[in-house]
Amino acid sequence: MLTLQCFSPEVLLEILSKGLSVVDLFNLSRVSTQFRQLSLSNRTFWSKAQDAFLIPLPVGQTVETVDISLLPLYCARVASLSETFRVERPRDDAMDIDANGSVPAHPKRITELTRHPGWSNSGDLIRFLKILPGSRLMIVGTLGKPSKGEELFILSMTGSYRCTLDIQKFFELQCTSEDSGGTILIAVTVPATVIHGQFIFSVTELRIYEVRSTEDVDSFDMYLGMAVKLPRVTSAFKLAMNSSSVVVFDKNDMFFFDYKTKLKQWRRVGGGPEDISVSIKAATFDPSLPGLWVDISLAGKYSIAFVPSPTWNEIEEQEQEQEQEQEQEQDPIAPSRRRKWPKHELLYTHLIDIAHDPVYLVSSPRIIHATAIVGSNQVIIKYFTLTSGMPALVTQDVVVSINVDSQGRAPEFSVVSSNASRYRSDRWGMMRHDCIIYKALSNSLEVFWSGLRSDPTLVGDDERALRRVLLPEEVRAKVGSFQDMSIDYVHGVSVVSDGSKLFVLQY
Amino acid sequence: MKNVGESDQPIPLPNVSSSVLKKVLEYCEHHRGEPLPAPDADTSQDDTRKRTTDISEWDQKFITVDQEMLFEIILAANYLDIKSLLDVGCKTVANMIKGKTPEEIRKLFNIVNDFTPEEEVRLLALPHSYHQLILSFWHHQAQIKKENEWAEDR
Repeated sequence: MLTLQCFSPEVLLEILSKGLSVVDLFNLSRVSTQFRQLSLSNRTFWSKAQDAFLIPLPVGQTVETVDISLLPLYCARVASLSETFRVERPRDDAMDIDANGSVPAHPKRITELTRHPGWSNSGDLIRFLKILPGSRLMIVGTLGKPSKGEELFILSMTGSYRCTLDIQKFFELQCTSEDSGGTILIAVTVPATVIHGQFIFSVTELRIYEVRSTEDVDSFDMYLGMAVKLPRVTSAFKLAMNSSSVVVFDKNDMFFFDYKTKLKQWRRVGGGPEDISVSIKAATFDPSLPGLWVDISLAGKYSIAFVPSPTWNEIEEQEQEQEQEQEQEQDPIAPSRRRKWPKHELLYTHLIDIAHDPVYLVSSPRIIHATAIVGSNQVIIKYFTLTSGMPALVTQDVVVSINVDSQGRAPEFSVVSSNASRYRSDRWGMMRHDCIIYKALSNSLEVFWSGLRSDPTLVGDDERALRRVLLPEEVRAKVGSFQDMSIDYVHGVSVVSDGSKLFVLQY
Repeated sequence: MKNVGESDQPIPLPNVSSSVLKKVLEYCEHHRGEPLPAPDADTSQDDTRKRTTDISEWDQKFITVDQEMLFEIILAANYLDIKSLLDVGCKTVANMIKGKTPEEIRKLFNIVNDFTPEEEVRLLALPHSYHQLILSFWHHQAQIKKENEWAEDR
């Protein structure tokens, strides 16, 4: 009789690479000694998991570098957190289940940072917060008295160490890390000026800060690694980031940067006559593909398209040189700026139409999430799953309906931001949102995570595809009005703010 | 098979039974003329495609067989180097594993739990918090450091 154990390790690894999750692999590693040995002898076992990015590795480590004997332990943590935040009905009947079939997640530790002697916010209003990769640090924006202005600083999770960034205000902020917070890149777009003759022009500046962890768990080193001013003809300020690649974009332009190689490229929509009315609404890198998903609108219709990352090679550089020479011959004005910014047509592949204008677009490996707010009482989240027959996409809609009162208002619903520029509305007065959705019900406060934090594989009621966290009573009692929240679902840490207080919740 | 050429000599297939070979031929016949899957390049795009667990309707029907036959087909596809069939078989097994507990996997695939009671207790102990996890990491690092120091002393 043939069993699973009859397969060679190569065939077993082939099976494991077919879309199994970390929790599935963790369960498999506990089936028999043969699977246990395979899991402890072959990193491929874990790195092939479709959600390997969920493994909460120690700071400075990757799946390739971490001690392999500890990998099952970290994957056990994934299983443990998955239990904590699960939204489907648990198998264990003894567990405390609420009426909707979810397990109330209560943090193991709650810390109120504003009471920490190392940091007091002295009345400044917290306007922005985001947990940095690795969950040891967070970035906080405060708005003080007019004379004091705004401040953006990095704070350790214990509140004992802080370091202020030299930024008065910013448009957007994104961060990445390839080694679980060992080195963190923070990309920020800030307003800047350039002087041409007697004139001063407003431009956008991209700054990339590098934050390196030290052996001391609370401290870190930080320095400005790159500062580039964009051409004054563009209004690009929105950000997308993946690894060392950064894209600054607006409706017409995409500026690609690679922090490691220090290469850059400007791509603009509008190569052909049909592209004139195309505008880019949102963009997000796909961690598993060399490019970005963009939400574009054309004649009032919205669709998702794929923009491949530019390739920088010698031939293209030569072409750029030729193009620069031609442009300079035609237009001798500001030749230095032209030399800095050769322009290319933006190439994209149109993939699928979507009915609503998303306010938020995010991508995890193989899955794109587009979230739209429809009217005042509905949030629609569309999931696009890449299939083997790329570029075909399969969609799944999740609709969160919000109760509306007699005046048509939705008092128990709000979308709060933890990702984009709610810290200060940008120069066009636009507000962008990370889709953490909360519903303040009569007896509880429910926070739903969209984007990377949700789980489209769950079936059942629409809302069940969103991960749910009930804020603990002790936090709800102290939080006046729920202002902002940042969640690191990899490490199971969240920070909640009501504008004046900060609570760190560790699950 | 392409390396065999047009020889009239019989090709020995000691690892494939006739009933399994019949199934393999049925698969090949149905997919005749279809482009071969790209060679195993480790590009991220291919990787993304490989990870999906979707199976076409015909393939799904074809692979709806008992477990013994499924495993035989996978072994045959691996032996005969028929990548697309191996892919379908592996995806089917992966789908069977998805969402199951260790006990359910054992039951499904008739696998004997050969862990000692002590090992089992250790495996069931999950870290309850991130702090606990980090502590175990530092404890492990300290242990390695100590071992290295002792090794140097010798």
